[in-house]
Amino acid sequence: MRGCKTILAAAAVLTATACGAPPSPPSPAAPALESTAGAGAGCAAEAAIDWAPRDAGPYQITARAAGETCGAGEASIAVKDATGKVLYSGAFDVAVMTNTIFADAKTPETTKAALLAWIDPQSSAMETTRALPDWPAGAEQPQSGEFPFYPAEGLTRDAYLRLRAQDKPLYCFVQGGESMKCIALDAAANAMTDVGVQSFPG
Amino acid sequence: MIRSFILWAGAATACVALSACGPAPAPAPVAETGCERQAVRVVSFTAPDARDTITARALGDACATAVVVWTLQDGAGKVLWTHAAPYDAFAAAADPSSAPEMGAFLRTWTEVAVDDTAASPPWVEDGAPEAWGPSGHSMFARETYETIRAAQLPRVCVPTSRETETCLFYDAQAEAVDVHYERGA
Repeated sequence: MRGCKTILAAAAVLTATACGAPPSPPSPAAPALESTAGAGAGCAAEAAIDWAPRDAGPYQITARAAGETCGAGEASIAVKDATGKVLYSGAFDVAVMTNTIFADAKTPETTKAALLAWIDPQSSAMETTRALPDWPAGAEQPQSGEFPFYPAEGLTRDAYLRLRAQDKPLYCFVQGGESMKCIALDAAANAMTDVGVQSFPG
Repeated sequence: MIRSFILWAGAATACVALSACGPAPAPAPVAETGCERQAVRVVSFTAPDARDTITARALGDACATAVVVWTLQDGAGKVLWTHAAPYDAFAAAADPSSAPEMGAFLRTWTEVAVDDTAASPPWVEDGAPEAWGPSGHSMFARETYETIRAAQLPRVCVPTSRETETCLFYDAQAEAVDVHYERGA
């Protein structure tokens, strides 16, 4: 979720400063309540799918959703190798995907179906890094038609183009109403790298 | 890419068609497996009298390969921030049967202090704050960072690994959370 509201927040902060936003009080020392994961969630679901990219794997992709209602709360994705080692993990706000992946998620059963569709590697046409959009010299970022690709923080143009030329397995999934996240697999290193976010029409 | 665009367009259409109907969600049973745990703590973050929640969950059959998820929600259940990481980013490889240790970790993970952005280290003109650590950074320019600091907005710093921490702030006007800075070794 990092940075997605940066511009909005920066502008709002300036407004808040001018209006004299009150400081936050100290947090009450309420104890944490412990239970089984997902307990108390009105809508919880999970799904798993195998991923066997070319010349690598197999890997397992799992997803979990938990919220007071379906279409709310958080959803997480994990990609694990055959030993169970976590190569990638991420958590996302379900509510920002109710116009895409979770549009039909009204019950735990339909939420599970949505999770399965969400994590299915086949749902993206970009199967390897070679399918990533080019990053022309002098351009601020790569561009896929009229839709920009936002490289991951710290990923330089040289590193991006090198990754693209290496034709490594790529896993992309929707992460919001107008974008999908792409992570590249380095099978030899048994590691995944955040490549960035491809925007699409919302 | 075209295939994906078609899927998204279809999903958007379905959303419009179904937004006014659909059965009420029923509580779902959650299978208890090897290391599935969660801790939930009520905090006042978005307002002095708010009942916001911090939830820390462990997902997975074995603690050593579990994914842990930290989520901050407002009193209405709106997700303000969520972060997932492998448990082994926080702890050495755990005994797969050490669910109690996982429970203790999750409880501690929820017990982050709510303070305000004045507690973030000052960013003077001659360089980024040392307290950020060698790989620490902020998405903001120095002037904006300092403006946020001066505004004394509600802040919480959440550990994201053994050596990293993300400090979040809440802006009531924007009803949004963002990262003030990230600390990294």
